[in-house]
Amino acid sequence: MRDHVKRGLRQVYQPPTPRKKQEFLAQFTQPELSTTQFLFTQAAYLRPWSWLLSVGIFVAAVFITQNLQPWDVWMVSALLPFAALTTVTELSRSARYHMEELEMSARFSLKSLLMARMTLLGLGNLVLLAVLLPMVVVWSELPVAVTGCVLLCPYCLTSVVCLMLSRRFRGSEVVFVCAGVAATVSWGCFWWRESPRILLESTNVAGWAGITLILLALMLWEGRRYVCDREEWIWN
Amino acid sequence: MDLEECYDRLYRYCYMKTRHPQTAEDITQETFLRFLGTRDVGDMERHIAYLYTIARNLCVDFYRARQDLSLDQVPPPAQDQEEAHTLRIALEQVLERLPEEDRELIFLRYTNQLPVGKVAEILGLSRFAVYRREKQILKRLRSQLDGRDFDA
Repeated sequence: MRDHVKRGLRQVYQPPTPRKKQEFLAQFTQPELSTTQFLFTQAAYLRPWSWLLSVGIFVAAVFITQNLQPWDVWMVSALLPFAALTTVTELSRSARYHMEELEMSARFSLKSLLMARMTLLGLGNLVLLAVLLPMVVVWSELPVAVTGCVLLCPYCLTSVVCLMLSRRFRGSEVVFVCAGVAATVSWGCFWWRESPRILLESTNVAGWAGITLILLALMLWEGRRYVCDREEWIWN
Repeated sequence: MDLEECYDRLYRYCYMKTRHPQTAEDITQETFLRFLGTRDVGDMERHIAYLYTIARNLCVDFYRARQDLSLDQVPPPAQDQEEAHTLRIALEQVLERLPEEDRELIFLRYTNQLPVGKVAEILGLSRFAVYRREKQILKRLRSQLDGRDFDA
């Protein structure tokens, strides 16, 4: 009965088909824009240097894998916090230049714009990680799970902390704070450069894989909160 | 929610209030025009509570202009016996006996499927009050429908 009542309530007060709807709405309709076209329009607003940095990280990783020892895999993971840094700083650009209100008054809401930019930058980083992972696995001869943990942990950690901080800091401070976080995580990779060896020796890969998954989930959660809070703060 | 969906939901809301398709459509269009007089099409989803408030005020104006009918004495809905569902008819009959505000709450929450926050904003209540009243009304609806056999 419970479900019947709730389901039935969706059916009550069914009016006849409106007669003048299409003619009336025709005066307000805007030209259709597909999701792909929308993403392309937003890609144009992302600064080239953020893409160039990803290319730079890839080139540096190629150099490392070609010229250094397999145990220097920490160098590759030390580069990835900077990919996360570019993503977060690029997302907070409109806030830094106080452009949120202007963007919100345009055709799309700030939330849609941030989501589109986050998708594009996230896809860029995903491609970078997808290219780096097999390359590093072949070079270092480490298991895929270990390499995944070594590469993803610093990236996700930087993303989580930077997204968290960018919700608290306003203006240009965000860049400096996030750069500090990226540099710290990168230095942490150097400081804990024995981590792949420890991961292998302690055979505690499952634990680290769990931590990586938690960081990944936190990163997605923080991304969602970032987008939601941004709009609420403006209206408040 | 696109413009068309918004129009349909608002039209249904106005129909619930007026029970007259032509009047409901006129009020829906007037609501749109008044909203778009001060805001943009893109703001519609964000300010959905404002849109419903305009529609409700226009429905009240409609009844004020026609003093012979009050909001609680609206004509019963036109029922197409071929298409009408047993449960739907029963529910509409039970809903008719509810106070105007309770009927509106249930309509917004279940028929137009608005989140509690938006319903609270439209009716000027707290979220807690909406939850509490929703629970009470559903309990009352179930007790009134109790004993009838539905195969919905």
